[in-house]
Amino acid sequence: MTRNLKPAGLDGLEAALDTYGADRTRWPAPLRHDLSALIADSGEAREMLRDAELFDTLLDRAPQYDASRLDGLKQRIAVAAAHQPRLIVTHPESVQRAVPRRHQGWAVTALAASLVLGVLAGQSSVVSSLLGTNSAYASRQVAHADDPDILLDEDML
Amino acid sequence: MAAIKTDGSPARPRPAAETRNDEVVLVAEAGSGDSHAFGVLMERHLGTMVSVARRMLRDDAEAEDVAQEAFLRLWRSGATLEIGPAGIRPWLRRVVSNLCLDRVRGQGRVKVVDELPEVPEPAKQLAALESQDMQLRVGGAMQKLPERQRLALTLFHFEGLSQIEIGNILGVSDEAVESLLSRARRQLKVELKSDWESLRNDSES
Repeated sequence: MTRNLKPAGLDGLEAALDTYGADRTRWPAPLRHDLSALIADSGEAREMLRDAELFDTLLDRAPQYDASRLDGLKQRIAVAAAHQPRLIVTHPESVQRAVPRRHQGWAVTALAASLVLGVLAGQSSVVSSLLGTNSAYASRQVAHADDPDILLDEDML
Repeated sequence: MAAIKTDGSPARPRPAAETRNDEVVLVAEAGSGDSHAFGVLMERHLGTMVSVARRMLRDDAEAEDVAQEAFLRLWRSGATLEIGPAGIRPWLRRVVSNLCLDRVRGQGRVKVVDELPEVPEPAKQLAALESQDMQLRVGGAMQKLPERQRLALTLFHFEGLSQIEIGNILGVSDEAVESLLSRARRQLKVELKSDWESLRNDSES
């Protein structure tokens, strides 16, 4: 029994009915056990339980959704989904692993940057000097350049 | 243990425990663009999600918008979701609940007006109208509840969730869920006192 509930007795029954309603299968097992004797022995307790059943019935009269609208809603969702971008996972074995969109974005950005650098390296000696320890890469890129004006940095060869 | 009322009649059954072992595959397939798998998931869960949403929001259209947004999120990110033994429904409930709470807070308190017919109706239609009026009053009383009480009661009474499940969705303790449920029912009992009394009188006659 949790701290919010009062001890067994009519007050406890009232608190249980206020919290869980009249369906005793929804009550915590210890509470159901504690109050079962009271309900069996007390007419007033049974009256409270009947009242609570009526109240639950009243709640059930809340307006219901018109289920015939569901088909139309499903179609609208399907159409909207067809126009939605999705996070696509290309490796079936990694379906259960989270593939953060951010990492994919970084990979794409890095690839784009390296392509740009490669193009620039073929046209500028400044870029090849900035590559520093990537001298072999830079020299390969520079070596493939067609521009005869590119000066090779002998330190990088 | 079967639920039985004091008069011996069966009580409203609690929704069966959910075992959705195949939903790991369905969600992954839907997330990868399989419209058939997505359709199966909608078939299973859309009605429930709309039901939850409409008890929180003003009208059916708004509830459908929320349900649509939840399923589109599933479509967009299904491939990255980790699905437990209960399937995708707990995740959908959390998304719908959060979307509803956001909307309710963004709109402020909801005012519900009972629209009663002004033209006298034939006697044989009065019973139907009275039933409709009662529906409106119950719906209106639910709308007046603070949103977390309304959500807790919706998930407990109408969706059959346990305290623990509700606590996980709302991010609160079991005791807090009990408090929300208790306060919700007490307020509704005050709001709906005359309708409750009417049911008592009907049951005694």
